[in-house]
This record gives sequence, structure tokens and C-alpha cells, in this order.
Amino acid sequence: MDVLLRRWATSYPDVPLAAGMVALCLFEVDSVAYRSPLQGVLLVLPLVSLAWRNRWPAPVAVVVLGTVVLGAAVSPGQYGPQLTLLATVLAVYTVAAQLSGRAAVLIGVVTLALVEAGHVATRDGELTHFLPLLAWGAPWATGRLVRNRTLAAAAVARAAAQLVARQEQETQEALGRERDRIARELHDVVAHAVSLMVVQAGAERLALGSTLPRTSAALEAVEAAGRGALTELRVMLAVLRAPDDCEPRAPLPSLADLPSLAERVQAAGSPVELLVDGALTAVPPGVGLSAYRMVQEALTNVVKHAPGRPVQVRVSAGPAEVDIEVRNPLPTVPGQPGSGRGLVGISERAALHGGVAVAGPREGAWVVQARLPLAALVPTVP
Amino acid sequence: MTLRLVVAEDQALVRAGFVSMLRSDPGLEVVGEAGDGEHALHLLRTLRPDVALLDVRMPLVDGIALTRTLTDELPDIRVLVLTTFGDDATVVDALHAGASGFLLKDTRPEDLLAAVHAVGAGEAPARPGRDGGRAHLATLRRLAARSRPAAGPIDRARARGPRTPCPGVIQR
Repeated sequence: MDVLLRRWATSYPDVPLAAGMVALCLFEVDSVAYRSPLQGVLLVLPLVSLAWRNRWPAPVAVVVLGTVVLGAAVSPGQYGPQLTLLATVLAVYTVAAQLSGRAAVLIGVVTLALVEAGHVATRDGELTHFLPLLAWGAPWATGRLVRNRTLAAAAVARAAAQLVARQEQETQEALGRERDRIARELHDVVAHAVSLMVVQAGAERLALGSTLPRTSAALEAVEAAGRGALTELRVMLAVLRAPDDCEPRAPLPSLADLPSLAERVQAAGSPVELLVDGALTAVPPGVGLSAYRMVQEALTNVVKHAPGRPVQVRVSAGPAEVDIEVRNPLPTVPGQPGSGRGLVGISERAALHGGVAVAGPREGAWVVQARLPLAALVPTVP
Repeated sequence: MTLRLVVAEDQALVRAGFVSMLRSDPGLEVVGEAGDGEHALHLLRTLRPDVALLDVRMPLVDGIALTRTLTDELPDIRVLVLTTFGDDATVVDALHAGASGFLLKDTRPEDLLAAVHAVGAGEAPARPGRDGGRAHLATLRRLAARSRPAAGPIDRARARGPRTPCPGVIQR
């Protein structure tokens, strides 16, 4: 905690301050009667030492106050020039602002004693003891106050940073879970395709019997490779599965299931207009599944943030891509935009298939648009 | 005497593959095929086969729910459940629902036929080949370790119900 304070404070020696005070001193030197070079040194030394007040606050304070006492002892009856008072105030302030705990108490007592000693040594009867106490007390109190404020501000900043870090972590975890879910489903699609290959190869091999032994051997090889692949896929799925998950009992959805999805959403209270065109059956199962999931996620968002409002869903399967658009008019009173996490799946799946997805307000409506290319940019497992 | 079979599987090409394998055996006769659980139930009620091969994952009614219905309504039909994966929960649910056996879809055709015969004859549960077999046995051992009445031959005793309810067809 002190590190923050220390690092900031000790980054630069306070050279400009010290140099400025020495320069001022040279101007003032005529206004004070000095009897000896010793007095000159006793005057300049504390000012110069102030250059290191942040780095070594305690030694500097002792030097400054010590020279004040010595000066008073050397020439009693005179308080030094105002610069000396200023140096004293600065030294005491710096100690109060920088030190903590036992060191602060010790140096506080030492500096108070020195200030008192300086006052006594001056033996100026007119002024009461009030002055030295003020000369020490005011900078000390100010120093402690500044210190507490700085530490409190640092604590608040740290807490804020921790909160931001935790939120970031939670977002990452949610993203990770969504990615796992997407990966699970796509592995599922692959596993079903491989199963199909193994069954077809096995059925044909059985049908051939002992005729065409080379073809049988080839089919046997296909089956064996397929079984190997399925074993690996099962391991992958076990890894990707959430602890409380089990194999879903329903077939994975495809674009052909969009009408029943629309019906369910409609039954939940939001009127849905579904427009589908193009060769849906030509869409590969992985892309079809992702497209369905994106529409599902967009619809879930609408039901959550704008319940009861009509939604228009357009899905169009072209020769090279599948286009998706989910649009609903924005409520007249703008509501909360939401955490943004609701559309994670959409952007993740779009990225996965090498496509794009955007969501945002347009012409008074909230529009979610996505395009999934049909030619995979990343080769999928055959 | 030939065993009469009904095959329920939603992927048409997979179903065709199974039917082809089964038809290559003179001791087996496929009397009906279905692509979803409701159609399958209709066929089973009408045709009353000896053995039903049911895919776990089917639209409308899934294979495990269908098995439960059969255990109640048509207990003479023996059920062989088929799946792409063989996770514990699914196997346990299938056996609890009253299935006589559980097979992975990529089982060797020879093993599939042997399993159908075994189940049809009311024998001990089918032994799917390789990984499916190991998974099946491992699950049975785990069940036995939990002192459930499933260590011996699985018969269609009505059990307490599945360990962890898995989402059915309706909830996606």
C-alpha cells in the first residue's frame, strides 16, 4: 500500500524546490545580518537537503530541524529567515505524509522535540510556545491528512480494478461455456455422420458375403477407421460436456425445425413472421444447426427484452451462403440494452463458420443479421 | 422360428443400413420401420413384433420414453436400444426403462445380429463389440457397486426411475 505512495513520491528528487529555495535565499541574504560563514552554511544546508525530502524524509527532517536548532544556538534571539520556517514546515509535512506506523511516531516525536528545542534556543521571550507547536502541528496534521486521503483513494482504485477483473473473468468463463456447447454440438454432428458411414459400410460388407473379398476388405477398413474416429469423438464429447450434462434425447435441430421454433415463440406471446427460402436441404448439418441456434438465440433475446413485440425472421439459403435476419421494432421507450452476453453464441458461431454477424438498431428496429458461408474455410473432419 | 422385428431410427440411411443387415439373416424378419417415436409406437401396437430396435434420439418421442411405454403396455416386446454415444446416464436410463440391451450404432454387424438373437431368446443382455461392450460392462459394474438390483441379467423389472432425469424431446 505504501508502495504506491512511495513509488510516486520517490520518482524524482525535489531538485527544483531546493534550487528555488536556495535562489530565494541568495536574494534574502542582505536582509538578515549574518556574522559568520557558519551561519551561511546553516542557512543553505537545510534548503539543499530538501531536494531529497521525498526519498529520505526522516534524515532530511533531522538535518533541517537540526540546523535550525544549531542556528538558534549560534545566534540566539533571532528566528531564522522565513525560508527556514518554510523548510521546517516542508520537512515535517513530508515526514507526516510518507511515514507510517512506528517510524512515523518516532520521527514525529523527534521533530517535535527539535522544533521545541529550536524555540527554546532562540530564547525569544515575546512569542509563546504556541508558535513552535503550530510550526510543527500544522504541517504534521496536513501531512497525515494527505496521506490518509491518498491511501483511501488507492484502496478504492484497487477495489475497482478487482471488480473489473472479476467481471472480465466471468465474461470469459461464460464465453468458454458457450464455446464448449457449440463444440459439443458440432462434434455431435460429425459423430452422426461417421456412424452413418460405418453402418452403411457394414451393411454392404454383410450383403457381399464371401463374394468380392477385396471390396469386403476395403469396407472392413472403412468400418474400422470409422469406429476409431467415433471412439475419439466420444472422448472429446466427454471432455466438452458440462458436469450435469447428458446426451440429448432429441435429434439436433436443423433449418427444417424453424417453423416449430416460431410456433413455440408465438405461443410464448411474441408474434413471429417466418420467411424461409432457398434450398434448405442442401445446407450441411453443421451450418444448418448453427443457423437454427442463431435464430433461436436472437428470438430468445427478443422475448426477454421486448416481450410481446412482433418479430420478423428471414432465412435464405443461397448457393454459397445462408443469410439470417431477425428484426423487431424497438419499443417507444428505450429499454436497457442488456449485458450483451445474450448474443455471444451468435458471434461465436458466425466466427466459427468463417461468417459474419452484426446486431444493432437500424431504422427504428433492432436487427440481428448473420451470414454463414457454405464452403468451409477450415476443413472439417470428413 | 424367425424373430419379427421393428426398427425405429430417424436417420433414413442409418435405418436402411440396419434393415439391410437384419434382412441378411434368414432367422430375422423386419416387419416394420419408423422414423420417429410416434410412428414406431403405432407400429409396435399394431404389429406386436418380438424385438424392437429403438434409436435413443428420435423426434416426437425418444427411444427411452418409448421403452418405458412398452414396458408398461407391451411387456412381451423385447427392446434393444441403439445409440451413437454410450454415456452412463443414457445407459442407466435405458436399462431402468426396461430395455433388454443397449448397443452402439457402430457395433459390428455380426455382433448386432447376435445381440438381436440373444435378446429375442430372452437371454442375458447383449454384448456389444469393443468399446461399447466395455462401456456397457463398466456401467453394470458401477451399478452393482451401488447395490442396485442390476448386477445379474437385466430383465424388465420396473426400477425406481432414472438417476438423473435427462431432458426429453420436448425441451431443446
